[in-house]
Amino acid sequence: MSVIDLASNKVIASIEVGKAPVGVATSAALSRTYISNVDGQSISVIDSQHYQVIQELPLKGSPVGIALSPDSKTLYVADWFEDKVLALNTADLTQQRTVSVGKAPAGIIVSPDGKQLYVANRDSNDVAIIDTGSMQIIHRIAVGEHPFGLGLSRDGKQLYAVNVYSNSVSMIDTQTHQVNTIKVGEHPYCVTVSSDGSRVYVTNTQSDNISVIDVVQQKVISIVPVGGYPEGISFDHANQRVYVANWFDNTVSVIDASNNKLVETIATDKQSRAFGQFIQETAH
Amino acid sequence: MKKLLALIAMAVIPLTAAAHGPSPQKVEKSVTIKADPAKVWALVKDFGNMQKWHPAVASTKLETKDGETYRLLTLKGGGTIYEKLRSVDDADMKLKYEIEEGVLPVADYNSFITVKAGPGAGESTVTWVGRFYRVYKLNPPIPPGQDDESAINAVTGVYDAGLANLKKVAEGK
Repeated sequence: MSVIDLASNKVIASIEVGKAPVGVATSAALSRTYISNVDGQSISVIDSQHYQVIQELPLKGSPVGIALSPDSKTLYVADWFEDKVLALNTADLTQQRTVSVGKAPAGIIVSPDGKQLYVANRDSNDVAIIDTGSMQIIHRIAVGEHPFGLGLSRDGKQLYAVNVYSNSVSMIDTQTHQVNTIKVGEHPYCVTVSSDGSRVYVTNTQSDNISVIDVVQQKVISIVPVGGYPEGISFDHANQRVYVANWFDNTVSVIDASNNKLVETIATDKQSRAFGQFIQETAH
Repeated sequence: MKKLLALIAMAVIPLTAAAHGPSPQKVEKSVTIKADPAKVWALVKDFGNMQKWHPAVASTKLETKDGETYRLLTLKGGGTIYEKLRSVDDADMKLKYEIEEGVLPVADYNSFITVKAGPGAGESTVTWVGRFYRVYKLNPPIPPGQDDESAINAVTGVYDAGLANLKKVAEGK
């Protein structure tokens, strides 16, 4: 895992984690970063201050998507092969609850109030809404083919699911569950939302670019070329920049959100992915 | 060549288009060729004539379906690979393609080949990069021949043999 300092846009640390790391969740409040190792069948727990692995938590299945509750008390992990989502107590990771979801749960994200968990079920072509108190599924929303990454506006009102095989993004109103679909590039994977929720950024893995969607107009307003096979994408709210992990090129692209221009390309360790929200915001 | 011949001798393994696994694999190989980039690119971009430079390919059959371009590679050791052309970019000298189905023990394979000028004057550097998954996409135990290593070895064999012969052909040896 590469650690990038957002002030200098330089890699400042490289940390050995488990085999085939894919998902990232990070908490400034806890000074912890959690990495899902899909082949290693484990979660690496990293001290974000000292860039050290402090625990390697083995899991039965293969973890992919990973997300923290807004209060950092719960870590959610999607288990790709066991079709489950685990809820782990971050104070004691051995305390675990589970819920069975759809087939191949991929992207997961938690509502701002922490009460709902959204899960993209890749092989069921739907998004499940889970009540985090009871760990029960309360709704299922049909989306496009092969939903993978999820994004959520900061007010929690708009949820975005990226449909890999449909080359589209489903915009889901989290109150009414109404779905609108927007076409993007080839084989899209992940999505992130701007601070005010007006723009959505999608990685098109096989077009080697980013689709920038204007939410009001519900259309793509800009296409930004990045590195080869862009996967993970995250919005840096402090600096109004978008960070993109490019798997083929072993780089991270930095986009200025004010003009949708590529401003920098950062060399990283091999095969950058970064599935999830990988930018740690400064603790308040 | 040994690896390549071994993989060609394998039985046809159907590719599952239904799902990509969570852990993609990558093979990246490069060769420096003492020939003009335009000459090397002309060989590489000729999607319907891979037998001209790849030593494992006996013949290439080009076809168009619904506006898309495909090729069927018949291999010298037996077996076929059916591939789809994704793009040809003359400005960047970059060709992108993917495997639809074939004898390689890989799944969801997509790839690009680039030609760049240099390092020396009149020289070209060809880079071939592939992204793919193993055939077996569920949790262990993984059946023999369907693991990450088998997939990586097969693709490495194809790239090494192909680039070595592309060099020979382009250098006119």
